[in-house]
Amino acid sequence: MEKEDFFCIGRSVPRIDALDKVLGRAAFAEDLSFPNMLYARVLRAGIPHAIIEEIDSTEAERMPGVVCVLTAKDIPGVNRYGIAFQDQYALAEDKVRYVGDPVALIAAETEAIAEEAVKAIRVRYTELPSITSPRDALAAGALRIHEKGNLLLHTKIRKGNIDQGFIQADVVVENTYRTQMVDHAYMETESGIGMMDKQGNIVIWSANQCPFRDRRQMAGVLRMRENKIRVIRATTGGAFGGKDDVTVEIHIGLLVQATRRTVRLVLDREESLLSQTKRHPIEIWTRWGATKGGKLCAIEGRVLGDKGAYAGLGAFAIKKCGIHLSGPYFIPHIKVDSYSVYTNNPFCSAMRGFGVTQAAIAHEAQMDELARRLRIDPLEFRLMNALDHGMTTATGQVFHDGVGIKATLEKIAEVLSNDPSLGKDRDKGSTRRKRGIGIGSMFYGIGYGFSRQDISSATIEVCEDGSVTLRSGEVDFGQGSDTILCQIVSEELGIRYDEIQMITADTFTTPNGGPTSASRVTYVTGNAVLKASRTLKRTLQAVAEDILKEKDLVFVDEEIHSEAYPHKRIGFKELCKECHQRGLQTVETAWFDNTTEDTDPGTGQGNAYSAYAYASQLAEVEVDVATGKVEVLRIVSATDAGKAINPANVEGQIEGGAAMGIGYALSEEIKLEKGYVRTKSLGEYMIPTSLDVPSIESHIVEVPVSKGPYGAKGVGEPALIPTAPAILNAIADAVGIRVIDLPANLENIYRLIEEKEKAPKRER
Amino acid sequence: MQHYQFDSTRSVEEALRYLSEKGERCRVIAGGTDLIPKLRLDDIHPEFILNILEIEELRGIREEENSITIGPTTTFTEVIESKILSHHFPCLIQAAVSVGGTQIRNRGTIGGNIANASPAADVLPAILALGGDIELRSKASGARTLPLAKAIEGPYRPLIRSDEILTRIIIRKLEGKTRTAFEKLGHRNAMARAQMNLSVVLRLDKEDKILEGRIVPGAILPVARRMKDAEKVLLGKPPEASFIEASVEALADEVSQESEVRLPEYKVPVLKNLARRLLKQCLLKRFE
Amino acid sequence: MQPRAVLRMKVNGKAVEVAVDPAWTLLRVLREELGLTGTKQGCGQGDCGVCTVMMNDRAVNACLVLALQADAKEIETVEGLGTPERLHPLQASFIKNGAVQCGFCTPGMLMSAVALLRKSPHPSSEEIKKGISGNLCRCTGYAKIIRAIQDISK
Repeated sequence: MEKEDFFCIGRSVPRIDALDKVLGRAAFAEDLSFPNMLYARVLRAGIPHAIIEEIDSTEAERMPGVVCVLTAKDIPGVNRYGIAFQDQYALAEDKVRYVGDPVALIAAETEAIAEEAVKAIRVRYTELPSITSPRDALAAGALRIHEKGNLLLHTKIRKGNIDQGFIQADVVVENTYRTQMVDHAYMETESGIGMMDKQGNIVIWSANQCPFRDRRQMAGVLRMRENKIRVIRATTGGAFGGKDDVTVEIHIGLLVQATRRTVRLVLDREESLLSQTKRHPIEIWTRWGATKGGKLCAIEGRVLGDKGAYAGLGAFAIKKCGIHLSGPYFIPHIKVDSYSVYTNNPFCSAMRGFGVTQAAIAHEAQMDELARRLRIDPLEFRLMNALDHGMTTATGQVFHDGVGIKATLEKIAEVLSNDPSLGKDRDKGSTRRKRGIGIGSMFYGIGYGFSRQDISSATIEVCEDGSVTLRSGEVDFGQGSDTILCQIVSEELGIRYDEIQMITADTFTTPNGGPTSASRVTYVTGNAVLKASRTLKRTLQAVAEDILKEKDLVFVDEEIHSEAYPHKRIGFKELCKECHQRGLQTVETAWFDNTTEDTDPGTGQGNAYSAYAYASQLAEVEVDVATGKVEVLRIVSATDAGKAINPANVEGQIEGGAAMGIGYALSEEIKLEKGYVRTKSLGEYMIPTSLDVPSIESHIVEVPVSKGPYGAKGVGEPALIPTAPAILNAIADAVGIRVIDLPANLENIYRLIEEKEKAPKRER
Repeated sequence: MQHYQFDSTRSVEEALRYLSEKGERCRVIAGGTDLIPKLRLDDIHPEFILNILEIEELRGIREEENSITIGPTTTFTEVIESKILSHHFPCLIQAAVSVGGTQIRNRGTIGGNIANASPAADVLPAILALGGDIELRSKASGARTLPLAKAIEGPYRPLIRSDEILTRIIIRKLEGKTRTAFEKLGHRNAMARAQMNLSVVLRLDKEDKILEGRIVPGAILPVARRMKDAEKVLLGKPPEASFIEASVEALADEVSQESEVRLPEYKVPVLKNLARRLLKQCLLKRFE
Repeated sequence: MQPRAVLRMKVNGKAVEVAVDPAWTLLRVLREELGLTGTKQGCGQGDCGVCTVMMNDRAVNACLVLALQADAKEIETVEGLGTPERLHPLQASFIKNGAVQCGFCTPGMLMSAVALLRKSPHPSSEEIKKGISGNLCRCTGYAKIIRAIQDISK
């Protein structure tokens, strides 16, 4: 494969952006300011479903300091956009479909004036009945939220013969799981600032995950050519999928166009919680069958996803949920139907895990319940059924390398055997506090799959003085991708990674990296960077061979030398100068196409993804049966990253993912009431604090995937997905209750414990 | 949008003069942790804001012969760091530790916790359990002292007139053998509004029989108060599980009866469990 | 527009005088009037801690201090901690230990850590967790932040 002693790969080097961030000088969108700037504010519907009868903005327009008020009638282009389905409106036209629907835009001289002006806009609505559950939306005669009807997408998996499958089953476990609506809760809310430059281009800096896609969305609405719109990613304070869709970009563009001034739009936290995309609440009914020998034979499932008011990217998340419902296991007969259904709830799109986070809640609970019924150890049961090389996935795809699920389970088994007391003593805390352990495993298709364009590119330029610039369209929003990509260049060219000029995510100056999502950057953009590096290296190498009169040259420590005769060397800088003087091309752009073929629409069978990532986690919890409070005592994670290009980075993802998973399992919930958002602040939306997260032991398991750069895969989402399932299984182990409605908060746990106490003892 | 005049004073007299003129149109600010969010959300629109944090007289913790006086602008952090309070009223320290996070505790004040009178307050119920009094002063009427137990009318409605300032919190020292306990239940371990809290203060005689008991649950009723029925059950009793159980049952009945609104299902059973735990902690040498 | 009042305070050791609208918070003054954008805004009401600064040696949420309440106070922000040539040991430790991901919580986290170490130079891991419990982080899971602080306090 690759040489194992790497110069830069596999080293936990400090991140290239860390210095600016610790100095407080990294410029996030809200930190940018220009003279004569205007402040924008959005008027949101405040009502879940209604027809707009009239918008009266005269009072607002008259207010001193208000420069511009825009509604749908002022939109110059087409008032429709959407990444996958064009069902969204830059500003609401005839009706509003959820409480956060944008109705009007204001730009004013100060933030305070903008806030006041928004309140002065009078909108007359005729309220419509609001539909707040997918079941209601699918009921016969239900009101249509969009003209095309409330079912947005129905996708299927049909593998084998489900009836045959269940005939073979000796044991069947059936349950309906319900996951809650969750927010990304990044520390930086959606923000951006835009202006018009002297050439009439609109320039926007925003916290985003894909400037190229945002540009595309903007162009249609603004009636501008894409090449006149420049979208630049500002330093972004967390994204996790929430900045994947357009957030503030179109609104800023409209206001810049209308005022020709610089406009800043920063959503406040309440607005972010109310109006920005969320994780789908999904109801998963599923029925699993296994033989008494412990082999899974059949899975049937129905995934009902609450899309909310608009599609965003979310139909694919629900589809991905269905595809991953069977988990990282081999099952010959699978029948799953996934439904994305519109409702008048806040709309859901991409959030870390993209549907698989929800699927794992179901599949890991099912595995434990089956294991219990079969009286097989849960870890053993997983190992018995784990996917391996040569086996077919739920979509009938076969991999011959990179299937690391068993390796991750074996790592967990190793940890358990080194700590014999772990999980053995339920009453270790006291009789009122019960301890338990649980396992969560997962797999995750890297990239987009299904013939959705999944391409990335990168450009490397070597200057005459040997300094190197890397241009890539991907976005580092904290996950460390910028550093990883520099490490790849560093490895290939033997130069210092931290001296590379990294320019990213600017539609005027960088090639299209594709969106930063789906844990794809290391794999897809990494491959593009690798390709470009190696092409450049060949050019440089040819010149070096000519100069040194040796082949078999090594690029390391800023010089190139002969492997056999190390004294025959030339410095990297010298070599670059020589290349330039010979008139050689030292700029290389490379593409990597990860686009897969589409699967059969009737059966979902095909080569859906080019690679999967795998992970298992073990959680130890302590449940206070007196109050329902769950403490997570320990998390052990074994993640198959293929190859960890920067191990500290991978650990950082795992640690952060585990914390997010703890919140998902135990405390986070966007509470909705008839379409109204009742969770209004970060005080009410509770993400874990430092006192809620235990030590996380991360083990990086490397089962290289041949197509990944150095065998690497993505890890961002795999870091999160196993945590909540492991915690829920640990709770079941501790107190014998099965949480099927998330979150497993105080009230939920206490109620389940009480119910169990009161229930007649029955055969388990 | 807020349009207020901001004034700051170093003297109680000046503050009282100010309030006597501006009364209803003025809000007093100390740590601001409750007030500033209200201003931000435009829930209130005072014409004047008077900053009392610079008034030295309102700060500090002083030990007298029979009581301890706490200045209202004492921050939660200062409460936690006070050796006097740690020695005499450990449950007050525990309550203060449970509030928010470091930054909130560095600004939030004990007087603010009382004056805000949130049903979910943490420190207020602990002071009730300790039998604290508050002193209010105004220019018109001078000083008046009343038990904290009589000073809260309803949620967010303290009986503090608009021309008055809370000037002292006075807590009598506990005589003899005492045991105190406090526990807070929240959805996470910091920065959490109480789902429920419980303060327990017990005075025991030489044989550990209960001379006096004070039990104050918080974040369950609109206004926290001592649960007299539950307390009465313990009077004169020896520290035995059976009496603890009887007290816990009485507590459950008392809370259920008082509550006008139907309480969420888990609240009373969990309160019972908490009460049982804290009473056992205080009374039994070996407990679960 | 309201009549302005004058705020006089010290910021990172330097005396400053700013005309402020009494409705402003200290956070607003630092970011918009003094251009010290290192301190961030995340929620505006003390729920997240990204706006943490030191005020007279105590870590506080700048969004919960009215501008004029900062009069005559000494404020320390992340900009005063170190320079690229001379990083504060905590800043260097954060970099070395991988404690920085998106960076939005970082300034506030650093200030809370500075406050903690001033009071307690050798905190236990539990004390560190308590010390930063008012600073939310969504990226790191706190692990490397805690390690970075421990690294300095050994």
